[in-house]
Amino acid sequence: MVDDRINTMINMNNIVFQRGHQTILSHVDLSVKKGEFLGLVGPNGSGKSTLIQIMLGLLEPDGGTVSLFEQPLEKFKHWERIGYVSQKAASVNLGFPATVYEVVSMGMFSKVGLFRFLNRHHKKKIDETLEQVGMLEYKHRNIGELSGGQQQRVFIARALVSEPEILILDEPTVGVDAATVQHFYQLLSRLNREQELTLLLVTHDVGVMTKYVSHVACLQQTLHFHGSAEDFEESDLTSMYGENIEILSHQHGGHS
Amino acid sequence: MDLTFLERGIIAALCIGMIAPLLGTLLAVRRSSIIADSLSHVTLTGLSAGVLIGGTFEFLPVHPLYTGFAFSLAGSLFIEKLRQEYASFQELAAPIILSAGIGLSAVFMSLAPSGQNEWYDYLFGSIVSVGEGDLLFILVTFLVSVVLFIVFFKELVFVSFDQEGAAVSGIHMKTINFLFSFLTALVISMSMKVVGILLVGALIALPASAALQLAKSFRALVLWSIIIGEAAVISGVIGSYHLSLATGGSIVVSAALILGAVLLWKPLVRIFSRRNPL
Ligand SMILES: Nc1ncnc2c1ncn2[C@@H]1O[C@H](COP(=O)(O)OP(=O)(O)O)[C@@H](O)[C@H]1O
Ligand SMILES: [Mg+2]
Repeated sequence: MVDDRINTMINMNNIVFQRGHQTILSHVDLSVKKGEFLGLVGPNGSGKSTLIQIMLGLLEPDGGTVSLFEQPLEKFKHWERIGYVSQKAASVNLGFPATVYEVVSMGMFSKVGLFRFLNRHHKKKIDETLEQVGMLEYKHRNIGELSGGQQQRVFIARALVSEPEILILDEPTVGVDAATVQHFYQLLSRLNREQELTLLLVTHDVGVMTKYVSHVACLQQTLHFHGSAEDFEESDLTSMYGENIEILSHQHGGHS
Repeated sequence: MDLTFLERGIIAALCIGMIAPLLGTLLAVRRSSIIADSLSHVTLTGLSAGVLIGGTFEFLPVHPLYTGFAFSLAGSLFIEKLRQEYASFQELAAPIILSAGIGLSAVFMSLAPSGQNEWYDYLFGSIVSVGEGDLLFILVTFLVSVVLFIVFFKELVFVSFDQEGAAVSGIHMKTINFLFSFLTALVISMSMKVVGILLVGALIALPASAALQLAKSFRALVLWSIIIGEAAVISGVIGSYHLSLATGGSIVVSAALILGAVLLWKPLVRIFSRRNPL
């Protein structure tokens, strides 16, 4: 059953992924430990979303293994422990007439199970989660009528409503203005500290992120850095986004 | 049960007026309405094969509705498989299946010994031709699909809205996609006698399109599409009875008129509500 002593939430070992003849990921090792706020950074097209999709079993890797909560991915059943907001969240079928409430209630699914209707307790939880992301007043609005940033917050509420232990966010701040981004990071930081929510945040924008995260992983086909935020230096970045990628690619997997 | 042919037809029509639009909402949201069209043609292939076999070998207990359903189910599984493996499936494979289905049907029809009228009933529907065996088939498939819709409604909606999100919340995608195929096959087969193969796609798609214009929530979408579907069926049946028109055609024309009215009505509502801001 659910084991609370689990320490490694995600462990990816030697992941290889190819599209045709193009190598997208080569020999990536990544782990996320309980309580971490890990920022996964890398330029556009560096394979971040691909890595996340492999992590969640949405794509099959050409090599390597994934375990979630110390269980092999194929055997993993406790999906309510994981919250995921995909990069495409904002472009999910928005022609679909769904209210904010209906979208968030989908997130309850993994908790409610088969033959189930939402009870009073579930409904209260939905309200609380909407409050948490500042969207309660939009509860009965159509999701398609909201701005990109608001939609993103609704999808975060959907991911949070099942009270996951880890939240995975793929580029949640794309198309959101700077002030909102600040608020957003503050919200994540608070969830991480106060509710001990483990976070994995994917972004190509390193700017603000480094101030809030506890750990950083830099991806460009392979991992160039994976360690605590303090050890992370500007040089790691300039080299990755700059011309020296080839030199650095030899030190992949240099983490715990 | 002792029902007149008209009563049987009306019961059948009411069942279909509810279930076809309900399926239509999910197919519209999945952006795969064309699948219903392709499948209905495959169903016709099965049906004409059934008529051909039944007519040629009279000792075989082959009922065209059942062979139609079998083809429909096989076709829907095949389509679902293609859909998962090829992203551009809708543009490519669906038209191929659609035309191959109709072509084969034409061949089978030309070989079969039965008369024009029977084909006409299957192509365009005819509620007066709903026999007792047909009604039983319709009622059983109706009950099965209603139960499946109720039990798996959350999964069906979630998968239609967001495949990735659904997969990550632990929904077994293969099961739900199979369920979609199964439901589509059921609904198409049960509609054959009432609106006919050529019109069933319209009864699935039109009420859902009209409801999409009106609904702001998914709940409302489902309710509206059922209301519009039943309104089309009832007005179609009454209209065809009084004006001696083909029922299937009248039902679909009603549905099209409702969609047209909704499309016209919406800009009017907008102008009106601009003048009277709440
Ligand atoms: N569906 C796809 N088909 C073909 N190539 C793809 C597809 N998705 C991503 N890619 C390619 O895979 C590489 C990695 O993409 P992705 O993981 O989305 O990067 P990131 O999220 O870091 O921007 C890119 O070169 C991209 O062009
Ligand atoms: Mg990406």
